[in-house]
Amino acid sequence: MRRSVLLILCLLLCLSCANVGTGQEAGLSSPAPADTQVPDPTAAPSQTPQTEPPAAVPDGQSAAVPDETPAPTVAPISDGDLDAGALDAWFEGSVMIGDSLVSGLSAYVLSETDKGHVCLDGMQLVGASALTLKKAAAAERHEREAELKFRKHYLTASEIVDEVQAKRLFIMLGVSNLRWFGIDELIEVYGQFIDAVRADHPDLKIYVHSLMPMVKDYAAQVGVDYETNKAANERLRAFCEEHGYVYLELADLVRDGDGYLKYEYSAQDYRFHLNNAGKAIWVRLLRSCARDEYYAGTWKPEDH
Amino acid sequence: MKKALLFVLTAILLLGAFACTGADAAIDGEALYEKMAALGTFPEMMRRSGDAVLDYYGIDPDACKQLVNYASADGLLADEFLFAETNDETYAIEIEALLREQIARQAETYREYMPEEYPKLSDARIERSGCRVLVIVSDDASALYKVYTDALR
Repeated sequence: MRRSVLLILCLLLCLSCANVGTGQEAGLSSPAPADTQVPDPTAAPSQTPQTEPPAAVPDGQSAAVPDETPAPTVAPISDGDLDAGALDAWFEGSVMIGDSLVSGLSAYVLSETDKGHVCLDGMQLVGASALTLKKAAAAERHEREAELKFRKHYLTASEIVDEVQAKRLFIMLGVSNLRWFGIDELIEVYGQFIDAVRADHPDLKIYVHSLMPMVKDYAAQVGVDYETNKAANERLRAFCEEHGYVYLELADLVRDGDGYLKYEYSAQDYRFHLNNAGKAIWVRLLRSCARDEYYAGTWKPEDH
Repeated sequence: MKKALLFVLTAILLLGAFACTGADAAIDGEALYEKMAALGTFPEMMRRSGDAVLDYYGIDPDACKQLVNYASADGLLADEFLFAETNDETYAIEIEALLREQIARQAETYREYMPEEYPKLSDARIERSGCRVLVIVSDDASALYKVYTDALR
C-alpha cells in the first residue's frame, strides 16, 4: 500500500514538473474553496489606521475599506485567486506561535487542507491554550518551562524557529493579558519576548497581531472593554512601527458596531475565539502579506 | 560459525517477540472512527494527516501500519480520537506513554482554562493492546470505547 502511494506521489511530482513554466501554477487555476465563506474583502490591513470602530456591515454588502495597496507592477492577484492560495507558497519558512487562537487557526488550516484546499501551505502553526505573554517571555528567557508543543517536545518560540529554519515569525499573544495587567506592562513584556527571540535570530521578520476583541458579554465579565482593547492595539501598532515589525490589524476586521467581536465571527464559547467565518478573514489577512510582498517585487511565486 | 548462527537465531527470536503478529481481529482505524462518530457524541471534527500528527504529537506515521487522528475542528474543545497500530510493540509502548503524559498535561491546563472540558480529559480512555494504541477524549468515552471492544470480537 505504502509503495503504491509513493509511486502515485512520484507520478504527480513528475506531472507537476512538466507544468512548471507553462503558467499552470496550481493556485491560479484552482477554484476558491466552495464552503469557506470570506464575508468581506479587506484592504492592506497593516496600513489602515482607525480611531472609531468600523460600522457594522449589513448582510450582503462589502465593507467600505479603502484599498491602499499601490498599483502593482506585476500581474494583479484578485481576491479570488488569493483565497484559492495563489500566493501560499510565500508561507514556506513561516511560523506562527501563540495561544489558543493559533490552535484554532491550526485546526482550521488542517480541516481546509483535508478537504483538498490550499491553505497556508508550509506555515507551521503552534498554539498553546492559556499561553500568556508573560509565560511566553519567561520561557524565552528560560525562566520557566516552555509550553509550545511541537513534535513531542515543549519548545520556546526561538527553538521552534530553529527547528523549521523559519525566516518569518507571526505572533498572536496577549488577548487575555489585559485582564491582569495594564497596557504599559503589556508593551514592555511584548518587547522582552521579541527581544529574546531575536537575540538568536536577528534577521527574523516579525509580524505582530493586534489583540483580539472579545464578545461584548464576555468583555463585560472580565473587564476588558472596547476602549481598553483599542488603546492597547494603538500602542501595539506604535511599538511595531518603532521597531520595524509588521502590525497585523485583525481586530478591526472582526468588530461589530460597538467595537466588540462580532457574534457571527465568534466560536461557540463566545469569548474571543473565531469560528470558521472569522478564521477565513484571518487567513485572507495573512495572505495579504504575501500579496504586499509580491506587489512590492520582493517575492515571486516562481522563487519556489 | 556456530556463534554467528546462534546470534542470528537469537535476533530472529527477539524480532518475533516484539513484532506485531496481528493475531487479534483486524481493526480499520478509519472505519472504527466512523462507527464512533455515528453515535453523535463527537462535535465537528477535523482529521490530522500523518505529517500533522508528527508535528503535533511527535508520532512517526512511517513507524505505524495505521495512524488515524481526529480532533475537534474548532481547536478548542478537547474531543479527540486516535488509533495507532505500530510495526512493533516497543514503539506502541512509547506512544502510549507519550499520549498519557500529553493528555494529563492538557487536562491540567484545561482545569482552569476551560473547566467545562476538564472532565473529558481527566476521564480520557487511553488503551494499549499489543501494537495498538487507542485514545478517546469525549463526553461519553465509555460508550465509544464499547464500539472498539465490539469491533474486536
